[in-house]
Parts: sequence; structure tokens; C-alpha cells
Amino acid sequence: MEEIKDQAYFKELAHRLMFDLSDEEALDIVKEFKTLCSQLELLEAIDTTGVEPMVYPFEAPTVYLRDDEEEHVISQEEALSNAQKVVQGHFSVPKVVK
Amino acid sequence: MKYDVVIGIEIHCELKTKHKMFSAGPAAFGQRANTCVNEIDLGHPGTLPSVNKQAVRYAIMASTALNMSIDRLVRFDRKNYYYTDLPKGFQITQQFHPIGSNGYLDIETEDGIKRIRIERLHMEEDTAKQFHLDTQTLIDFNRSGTSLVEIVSLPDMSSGKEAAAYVSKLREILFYLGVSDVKMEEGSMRCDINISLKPEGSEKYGTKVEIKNLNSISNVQKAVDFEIERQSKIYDENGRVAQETRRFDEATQTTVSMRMKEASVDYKYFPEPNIFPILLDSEWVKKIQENLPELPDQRRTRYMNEYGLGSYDANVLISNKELSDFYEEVCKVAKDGKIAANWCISELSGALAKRSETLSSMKLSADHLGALINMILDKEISGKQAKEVFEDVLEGKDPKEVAAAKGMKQVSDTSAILALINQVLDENPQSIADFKNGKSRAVGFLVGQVMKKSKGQANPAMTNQLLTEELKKR
Repeated sequence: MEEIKDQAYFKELAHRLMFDLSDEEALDIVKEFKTLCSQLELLEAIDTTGVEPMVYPFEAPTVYLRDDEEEHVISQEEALSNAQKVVQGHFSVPKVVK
Repeated sequence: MKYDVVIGIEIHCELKTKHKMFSAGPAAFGQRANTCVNEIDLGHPGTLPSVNKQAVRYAIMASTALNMSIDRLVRFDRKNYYYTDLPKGFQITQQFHPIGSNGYLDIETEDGIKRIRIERLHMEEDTAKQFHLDTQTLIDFNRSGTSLVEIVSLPDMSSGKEAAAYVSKLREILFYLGVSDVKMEEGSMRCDINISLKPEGSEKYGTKVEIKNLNSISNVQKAVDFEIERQSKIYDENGRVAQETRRFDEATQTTVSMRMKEASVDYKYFPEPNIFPILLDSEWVKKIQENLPELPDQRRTRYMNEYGLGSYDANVLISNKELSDFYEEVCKVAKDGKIAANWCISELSGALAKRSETLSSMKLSADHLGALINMILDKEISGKQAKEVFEDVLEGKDPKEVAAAKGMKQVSDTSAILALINQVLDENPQSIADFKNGKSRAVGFLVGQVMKKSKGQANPAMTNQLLTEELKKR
């Protein structure tokens, strides 16, 4: 189990994700995280030696492949309906590369 | 100092499916922005991907042609990264279990055939196209989700020439398979090159540099050659090669830095939870593998065996599939494959280049060209006349009709030619005397007279031979 993370750690993490946390919010998260970690410790106590990790709820593979004939397309208007800013049919977003 | 060079190449190739890899959105190039999209391509919440059957078929075809083993259990993984070209926040790819693995292709080098091993071929989705302007970025999601295969070679190449040969061979194979239109200039085939150097004999390779933005095969060679020189120079001066991504700059014909790679990005790959593993039917896979279209190497061998072409002519035809397909049609009619090849390679290609046309834009039919070739072989018209007729054949006309309308025919009837020869000899006693005195030029003059009398229709080779025989008799 990793070491317990502090307020500064979560503030830094939030900052990297482009938002900020107040001291209180960060403290809340630290507390919640501690609880979570102690719960995980319970799980870690289970001996899983020799057990293959399972990825999907079913063991049997499926066979479905979509035919290349099927088509579903929406209009440009619909496609852009959630855009904050539209320029000549394009989504316009702040530039993040130099 | 001399350096050993290692080059590995990653190729991304858009598949020619009608729809996208994981959605039924149309796959199209050059359409109005954001008109070929649906909720899945835009990464709306609550949407679920499904796998395009045709894309899987194409991936199997490409893997088979590249001598790879196929994993019948198709599994996908998530590559997580957050960027505006990918609204879901992850790309669906095959990180852990590529559909094709452990293949190779052979390239021709100056030292003979060299085998380039191919590590993997996997399916994934393309990203949206972005236009970075001064203050904003514009996004067109039409390309988002387009079916792609990525083909990764092992670092088995060691020069610009070998890198170019590999890309060119791979491109040819994918094109003949019909799985992609492999247009490097339009980005439907993109190529990333990794290159590093080490002093000859040394164990440890230097820093790996990646080159992007290679939009033609000749640029692949130029970029690699430039990069080898650039890195050699740095090492010669005891410098350090930076770990970075560079791009080929068309204007200066050099590579320039795009971005530094401080540490490798952690994409937090994990199995894609929205697509369960898919087990392909072994009969279906087998059928695809057994019905591959003819590959360029097979066609090359067939041209050499069946039509007696040399490797140069065979290569010229193969490198242009449209011409090569046309040539095969001509050969169905023409009695001599080698002469047909000469016509396709020189007369036809020359005429197309001169007119800036392609075969599909011309009315020319393969049957007519085949018939024209047979008219020469059957000595109905001379080679010179054939070239004149060919001008009209290019416009879609029937060579027989053209030759008849122009009053062309070649007289190859021995008695008819002999009659003309004797007439000419009777009229030119001086030339006979000259010939007897060893003036061989007299023959040329007499042949010319016969041709003139026949209005150019006497078979020149026959005339020459018969005339020499007749002269000796006199």
C-alpha cells in the first residue's frame, strides 16, 4: 500500500488537472482517501496467489462484428450543438500548443 | 568516426472501410467539417463502441501478406490521454494483444535481399483533425474514429535507402491488397521513424530520435540520411544527442525539432471494458487468408515466367498498378507479352506523360492496343505506321479501321515485292555496277526506290533481304 497522501499532494494533483482545491476541500479528500485505503487493506489481506486476474465479468468470448454497411450519422448542426464556439463548421477551442 | 545505424519504422495506415472502426459513422476524406460524425465519434457520454468487421478482415489480409501469425481472439485496450483531438479522453487500440505478430518482408538492397522483421500489426482508431490558428484551435471530427492499422518493424534497417525501400514495399503490398489507398501526401499512410547511432563496434546505442511528417518515400530517404549526418556530427564533437521528436522540413530539406521527450508518457493502458474479447471463426479467417489478391512479388515472378519480362520491365509495370492491370488486359489479346510490355512502358506511358493524362481519363482500350501489336507481329503494318495509328488508338479508335482509312498496309508478299525490286533494278543499272564495285551504299538507295514505288507499304526488312539476294544474282 502506498504511503498516506497529504493536502499538498491533492492540491498539486488538482492543479495538474486544471482546477484548484481549497484547504478544506483538500482536507476532506485526505480523510476520505484514508478511509478508502483502510478498506483496501482489508481486500489485500485475501490470499490471491495463483489466481488469474479477471478483466470481464464473462469468461466466454463474443463473436459479434458490425457490418460495414450499417450507417449512422448526425447533422453538422447537431454535432456542433454542444460547442461553446463554432467557426466555419469547426469546434473552436483555446489553443494549447505553441 | 564511423557509426552503426539502427532504424525502426512505425506506419499508420487508414483502412478503406466505408465506416469507422468503432462506430457506423461514415469514413470520408475531404468532406465538409463535422458532417461525417455521430455520437460515438464525438465521445458523447453513454455511447458504446462496436467493431467493424471489414476492418478486421483488412487487418487479417495485411497481417497474412506480411507473413504474420494471427491472434484469433481479438482484444482491445485503452490508451488514456487527454487532448482535444480525442474527445473520449482515450484511444481504443490493441496494446497487449495485436491481431498480427512476428512477420517480415524482404526488401531489395545493393547487397541483395534483406529481411526486415515486423513485430506487430494492430487495429486502432484515428484522431480528429486540428487546425492550429494564431489564437484558437479548430477541430474537425470527421477523421475521428477512422479505422487504422499500425505496423511496427523491428530496428532492422541501417540506411535511408533501406528505410525508403521498406516503406515503398509495404505501401505496394497494402495497395495491391486493396486495404488502403496509402496516400502519404494525404495522410492516409503516415510514417514515424526511430533512428539511433553507435560508434562502429561499440555495444551501446545512443539516444533514439523520432522523425515525423514524412509525406513521401523520397522524403523518408532524405530525412534519414540527413539525420544520420546530423547525429554523426554531434557524436564526432563529443556532444549529446537530445531525446526528441523531429519533423522533416520540406523547405530546408532538413529535420527540425518539434518537441523534447523528457520522460516517456504513461498512458495507463488497460483492457477496454466496453468491448468484450471477440473470437474469430477459424473458417472465416482461413477463407480470407486463402483468397488474398495477387501480391506484387507474385505478379513480378509471373511476369518474368509467363511473359518472359526482365526484372527491370517487370518492376516498372508493378510499380504502377493501374498500368500493370492494363498491361494484363492487353496481353489477353496481344500475342507477345514482351512486345506488349515495351508498348505499355514506352509508347503508352510516354503518351500519357506528354498529355498529363492517366489511363482512366483516356478512351484507349486494352483490346485495341493488343490488336495493334498483333498487326505489327503479323506484318500487316510497319512499326513506323503503328506509331502513327497509335495516336488514334489513344483516342479510342479501332486500329484496323484507322489503318484501313489511312490506306496503310504493309506488303509482305514476296512475289509482289520481288516484282517491284526487279522493276527498280532494271531502271538503275548504274547502282548495280556500283554494288559490284563494292559500294554497299547502293543497296540503301535501291531499297529507298522500292519503298517509294510501294508508297511506303513494302516491308522494309523483307525488301532489304530480297534486294540483296537479287543483286547478287545479276
